[in-house]
Amino acid sequence: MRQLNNSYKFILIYFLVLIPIGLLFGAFESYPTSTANLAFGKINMNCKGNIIDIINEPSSIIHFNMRGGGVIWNRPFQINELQQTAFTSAFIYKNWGFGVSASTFGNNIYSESMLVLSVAKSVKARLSLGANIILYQLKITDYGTAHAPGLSASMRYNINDNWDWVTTVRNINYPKIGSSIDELPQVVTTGFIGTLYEILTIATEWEQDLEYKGALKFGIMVKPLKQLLFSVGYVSNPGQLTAGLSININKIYFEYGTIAYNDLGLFTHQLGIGVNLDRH
Amino acid sequence: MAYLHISLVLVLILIGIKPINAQQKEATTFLQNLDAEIAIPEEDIILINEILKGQWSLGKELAKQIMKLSIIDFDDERVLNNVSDSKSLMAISQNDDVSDFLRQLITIIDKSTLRKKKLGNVLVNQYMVFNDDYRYRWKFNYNANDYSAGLIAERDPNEKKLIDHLSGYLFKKYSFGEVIIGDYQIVTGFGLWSWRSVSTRKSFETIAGLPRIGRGISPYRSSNEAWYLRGISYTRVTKFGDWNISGGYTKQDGRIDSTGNLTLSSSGFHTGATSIAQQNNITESVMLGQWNYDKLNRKIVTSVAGVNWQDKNSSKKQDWCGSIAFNQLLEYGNIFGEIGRGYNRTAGVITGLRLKFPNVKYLISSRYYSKGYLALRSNPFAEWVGKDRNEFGLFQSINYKHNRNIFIIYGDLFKASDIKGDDSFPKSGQEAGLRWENRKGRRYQRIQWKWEKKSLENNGVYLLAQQPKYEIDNTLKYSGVFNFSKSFWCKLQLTYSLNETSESKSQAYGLDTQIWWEMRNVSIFFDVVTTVIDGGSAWIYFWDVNLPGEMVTKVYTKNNIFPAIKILYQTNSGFELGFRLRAQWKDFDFSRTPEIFGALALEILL
Repeated sequence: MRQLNNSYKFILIYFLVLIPIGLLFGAFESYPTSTANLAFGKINMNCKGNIIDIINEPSSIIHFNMRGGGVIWNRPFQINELQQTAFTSAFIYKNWGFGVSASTFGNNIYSESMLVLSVAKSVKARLSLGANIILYQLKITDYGTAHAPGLSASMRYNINDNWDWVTTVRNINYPKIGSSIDELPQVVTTGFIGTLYEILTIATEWEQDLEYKGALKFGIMVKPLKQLLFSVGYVSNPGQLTAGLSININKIYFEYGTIAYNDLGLFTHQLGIGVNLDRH
Repeated sequence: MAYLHISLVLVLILIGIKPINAQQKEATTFLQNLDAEIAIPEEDIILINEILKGQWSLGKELAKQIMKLSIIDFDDERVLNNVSDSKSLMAISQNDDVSDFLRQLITIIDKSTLRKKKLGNVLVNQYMVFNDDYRYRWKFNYNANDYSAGLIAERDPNEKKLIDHLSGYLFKKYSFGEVIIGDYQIVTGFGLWSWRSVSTRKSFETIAGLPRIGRGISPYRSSNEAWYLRGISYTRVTKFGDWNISGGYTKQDGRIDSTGNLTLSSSGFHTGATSIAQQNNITESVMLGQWNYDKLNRKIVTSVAGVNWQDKNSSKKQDWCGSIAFNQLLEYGNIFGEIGRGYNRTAGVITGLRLKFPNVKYLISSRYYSKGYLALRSNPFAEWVGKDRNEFGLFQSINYKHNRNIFIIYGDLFKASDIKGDDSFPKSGQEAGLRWENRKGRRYQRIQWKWEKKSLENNGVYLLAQQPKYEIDNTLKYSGVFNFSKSFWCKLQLTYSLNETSESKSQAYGLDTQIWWEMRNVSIFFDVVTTVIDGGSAWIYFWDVNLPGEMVTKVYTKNNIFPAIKILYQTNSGFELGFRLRAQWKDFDFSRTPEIFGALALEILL
């Protein structure tokens, strides 16, 4: 009975938080993001070379010269049965960037899974382009399983030594899933990230899911020590506050991030660990 | 609130990104000096942006691209035709015989190209408009010596798909000709067979543009979803003229009804159930051929196309269209014309004579389009643009130049050639205009008056007790650009519009004040439009505060005040950012929250 109650709670919150009122149930609204980015205003563009973020911005593989892997785990809205995990690995081969990622979201009744293949290439010195080919799988226990292919892309331009402009477009092939032909989210993001001082990085991003009003995101990252990094951020519409920290030991990083849903009074806590062999 | 956030963020970015070098901002106000009531084709706007970004090296090829712009004068085209290298192109900026428009354009190109001479040939553009919903457009261009490629992706507000429209091309130039694979456009003759997405309009500029014969085939650069041809095009240059053969198929919106009637939609908007159902419903297969003979003082173009339309239910329709156009230079001007065969055995004819004497130009042109005249991508010079319209028309214009003063008068008479009894559309009308302009470089002053009178026909549903017989529009405009210093500029526009019928009267007053500050790498524009409308049927037109790559006209139909701000920022690394916001209060007491409209354009050159 307790498990059933929690399932109802999950579905209720899913509708309230992820699916704005008046719309159909939307699958794959909760995209995995790195713990560092979650703490940094839940920004989509890859802010500090975290490998998990190639799921959102494949062009970052080549920009950050990634070689390594990472994993995240979170428990959305503090619901025990609900969890999200993601694993990513990326490498460079002959000036091309490649990556493979997998993620799951849900509980033992409802689950969303993604398998993502990433490719990236730089065009001249300042521009990096990337694409993700995604296989979406939606599974409901005792009901069935559905699949859909997706295509996403991203572009990162290095304006100067301190500032980057990043645009991502998710599901540009207009994918639909299941017998009810549910449209998967089509999302555009565009933003800037800049290092003002060696210890201070700021970022802002506009995120637009075509079904909803847009959201503006801000993040501030402070690095008081070489091994320690603090982040805070804000997401508008609806308002969400984010915070977290990252500990870097050689090429390995351990991260914690949290996001506070002001309207619900609930939190999502996320942990992440990763290694980037090219990280300095 | 989001717009305030965006503004703050952009200010932060502008502070954060250090400028590298001085910039030239003249281009931002370049097209704004044209009349806001006359639409500029998007292909022109995009092409001019590519030209100013240095996508073609200075010289003959760049002159060829400039000649494709619809806003180039007939006499300017002849000067551009003689360009052989960069020196002869740049010399145009000192040539008093060309129009101020071309002289200013070449001056800007000179400065822009110097600035970007170390930059590359890849141009990427992202354009977002925030209105009721969001419009997105992404553009990619690559230009090398003999190769070019382009891709454009677009989504209109409220459309379901993120990439609702995708268009692209590959272009290769050989010593003996050219090949285009993908989307291309043909601008030929005088609009009776294939033309730009906007026709040559009746205006003070008609005397400059109407006598120009189309420049032929080129890659398609617009996001207009209904105007391209998709397939393969091959042009062979021979001593007997240029021969072009093209074939392919294009997806069009529309339907073929049970009686075989074809209806095509060119709006490009796919938001309602009907428009979504008709999206790409028609496959238009085209095979076309063209012969261009261009020697000395004579140009002849013959074009023919066979077309097959098929909808998704396999309903089919076939037809063909063609035209012959010519332009013959005379000692004191030129004579031109085109005769076209449209679909459904319709016909169109346009002829004209242009005379040029020292300081004086004169144009007379007549036209006839039979009912329902429509050809491949026809867009003829006409009062009534639309496939179910038809007309006889006679246009005249005279242009007199005295020192820095230009006087232009034009007049047009038109009459429906095939009157339909139950149609409420006007059957006849007249239009006339008078303009004085004084220009010195970027500074100018202009006063113009336009008068239109059209008959109103009874369609049996008119609600007024006394049905009006005619409608008259009077528009009086003043426009001037001044500078207080080298970097501080002002533009003032005053418009009065009067719309009257035999039974009613409406007046509109508009004031648009724009002040802008051109700094080393940033330009900031402040703009306020105030309109007072009495009656509702008189309207006011002003350009919006447009970003590079857009030319949006706003139509004002109510009492309103509209403050706006535009920020443009460039770095020497090839990055450019443009942002505009406009607020709209519904009344003058400012008590309600204003509606906010905006756009963001980002561009990089590699």
